[in-house]
Amino acid sequence: MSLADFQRAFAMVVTDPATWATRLAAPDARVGHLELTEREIERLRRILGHRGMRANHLLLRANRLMPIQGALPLTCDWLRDQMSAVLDAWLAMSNEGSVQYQREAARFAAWLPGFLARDAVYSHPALDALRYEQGLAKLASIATTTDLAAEVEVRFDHDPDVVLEGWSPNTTPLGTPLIAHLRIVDALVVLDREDPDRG
Amino acid sequence: MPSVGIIYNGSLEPESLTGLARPDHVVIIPERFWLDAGRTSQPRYHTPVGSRRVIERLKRSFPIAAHGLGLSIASACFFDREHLRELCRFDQELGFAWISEHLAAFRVDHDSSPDHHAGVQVPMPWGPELLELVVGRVDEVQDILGRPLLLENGVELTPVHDSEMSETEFWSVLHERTGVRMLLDLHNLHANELNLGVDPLAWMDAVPPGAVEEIHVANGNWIDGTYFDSHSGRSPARVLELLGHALARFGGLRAITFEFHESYLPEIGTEGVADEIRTLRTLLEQARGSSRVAG
Repeated sequence: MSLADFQRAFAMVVTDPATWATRLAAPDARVGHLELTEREIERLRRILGHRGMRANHLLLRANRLMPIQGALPLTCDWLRDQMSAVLDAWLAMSNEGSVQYQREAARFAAWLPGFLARDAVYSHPALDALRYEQGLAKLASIATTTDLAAEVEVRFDHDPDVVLEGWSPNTTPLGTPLIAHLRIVDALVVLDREDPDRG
Repeated sequence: MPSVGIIYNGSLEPESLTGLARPDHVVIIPERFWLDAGRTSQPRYHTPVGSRRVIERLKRSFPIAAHGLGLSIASACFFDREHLRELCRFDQELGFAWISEHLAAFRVDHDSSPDHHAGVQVPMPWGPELLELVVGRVDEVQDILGRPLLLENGVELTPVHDSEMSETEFWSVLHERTGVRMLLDLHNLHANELNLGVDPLAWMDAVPPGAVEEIHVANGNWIDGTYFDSHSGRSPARVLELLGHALARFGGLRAITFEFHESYLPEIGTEGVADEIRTLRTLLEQARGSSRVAG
């Protein structure tokens, strides 16, 4: 009997209770390569069959989304129509959860462009928002350590004024991507569009 | 008399509460003040300057207690001693009035991650294997911190079938063997009452009278047929009723803390938080007046 394997098994089955309830209904059921006793398998079956499991799964989705939503609120806003599908795919792919906002957000940010590209979406206001929010985080980390005059470059494929306002039903990509610079002026973050003559 | 305080979440500055609504103490969640780059990173921890300033400011006005939520003390896969040492470093620097954590497991390792947060608490199989694990962990935590630890009772959504012990038997033996005292979260107990039919009065009566040091109160909400511990408002009447029972039952209480989540402050309102603190004080006075605060 292994408490550690029981805990690992629960962490696995809670991500997809319906599928695991079916799998564990078999008499010789296993959870991956984990060493579980028949008693532990039966405990998992009972847990999966308990009405509280729906709540556990709901809570898991909320808790996994929370750090991403907390660190990347504008990005999540622009994904609002797709958020449920995005979260499904993220949970299916990501088996390394963290409640540290910046760490989880960084992993999500690295994953999202590839996920959208699977449907040949390479330009999306959510990706502009993502680059902007990553830029803010980078600026904050630089400015609080050494260089208050630091600036961070952000590319926009859509009008920044529209992107920063949050979700709207119709957005048109710019003909040419726009480069903007995030800087801190008088304790406020300002976004300067790049002057084509600047250099 | 136990002190009456609130959890700090950044949405309300405790200094804005005055008179009888002024908190006697403020509880912070240390993990919200440091950045953790992960178990395999070096350097792993960083405390932003702004976070440090907030704690230093709070400390000038209130006794500050720490309420950790990241240790996962009942994880059998691994024990994150670096996390514990960071908590210890914070304590040495800031001098917490007391330190609490959760009797919970939510972190596991597996093939593709040395540290995966399960997203929910792993159900607790109350029994000898878990007990031996937690006894050892509590001893180690108290050794490293050099001071007592409080542990909070949790919400159970899916209890473990065929557990060898009841939850209260587990707590009683844990207290007897380690001296650890409980942070009794009455709202968690209330959630277990609504979701699982736990009798909260019998539950409290099965815990040794000297085993509780702090009490948390809060509110929650129903979603899809389940009652969640969402810290969504002022304590419901039932939780205050349970508080009356707890005050009569448990001696040596140090503190009562009102927990609310920052996202619900617009609904609760600053005056609502103030009212909650005044209500808790009134209940304490009434219990003392009727000699119902256990000595």
